[in-house]
Amino acid sequence: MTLSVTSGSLTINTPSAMDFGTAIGAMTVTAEMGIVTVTDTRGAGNGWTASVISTALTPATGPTIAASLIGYKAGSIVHTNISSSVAHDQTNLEGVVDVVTAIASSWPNTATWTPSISISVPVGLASGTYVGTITHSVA
Amino acid sequence: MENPQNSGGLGISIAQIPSDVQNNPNAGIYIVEHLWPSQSYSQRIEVSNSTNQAMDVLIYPGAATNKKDNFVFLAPTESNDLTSWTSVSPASATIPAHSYITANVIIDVPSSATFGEKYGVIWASTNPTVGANGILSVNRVGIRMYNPVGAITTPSVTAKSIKSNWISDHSSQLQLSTIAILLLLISVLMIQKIKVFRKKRRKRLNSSKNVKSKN
Repeated sequence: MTLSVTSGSLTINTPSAMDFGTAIGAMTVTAEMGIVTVTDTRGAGNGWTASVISTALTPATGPTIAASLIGYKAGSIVHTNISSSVAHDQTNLEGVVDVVTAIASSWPNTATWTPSISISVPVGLASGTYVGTITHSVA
Repeated sequence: MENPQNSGGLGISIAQIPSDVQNNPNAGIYIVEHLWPSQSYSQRIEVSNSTNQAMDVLIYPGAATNKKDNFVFLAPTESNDLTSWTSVSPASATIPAHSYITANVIIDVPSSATFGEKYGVIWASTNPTVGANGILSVNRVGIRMYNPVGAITTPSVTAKSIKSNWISDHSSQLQLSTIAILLLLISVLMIQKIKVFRKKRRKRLNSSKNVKSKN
């Protein structure tokens, strides 16, 4: 026997891509990623955790930029119906790391932030375009 | 197919609450079924796209763990017991703009499953085409899985930022069941003892009657 009830949902939205411009030699480049939005209409539970992981940045040929050289700062978090939200700045995105935790006070609740991503570009890299993937996860 | 509940992005929700956990307030947002070896459990979920464009999504189980009493998502490359028992159908889909799909999560617990609390997440993930430049952004949104397996009574994690008491509920339910079973066993033993006592007393009375009648 089952009971059919449609629950609310947990939703995430981030920009689909970002461009860091050009790095000349060893330097740290930083760029804003665009707005990340989490919306929780589930109507139960006490909140959610958003985490991030990155791949290494790879060129067409030559050594990669390790994900351990990529950092994440959520910056200020604008929220509604959330009693507290905490930004966890990260300097290494090699593994899954928490970036924002939120405790809901009521539903629907929403949080938005505009993270800045930093890349410590090491010496000795080949010239070219480096590509990678940053994954935001919320549950 | 219009899902008016969302205001933009990739969403996920429980579509059906099994009757045996319907009194658990967390059953509407997590998968909380208490599982047993050889059990096959099925749970319907919904994955929604409330953006203005069609969205390619992947749906799959991901590993999680209890780290110092926090619910921690593990890297996509990692797996555990629960992820190895869990499948999702469909595993991929294209969701039109402002629509949703229903998917079925199936957990097939093997007969050899070890007892304990198992953690995972059913993830719905965007699946963007790899571009030529820059950094791609992938979104994942998930339903947590807190699934005790077998007869366990140990207290469990309080999820990070989720001061959920559902596992203590499980624990206390289990303890209550254990107490109920013990009381039942004691009652059965008492009844048997009373029966034996009555039988013996009857025998004694009969034998004393016989002695009197002989006299």
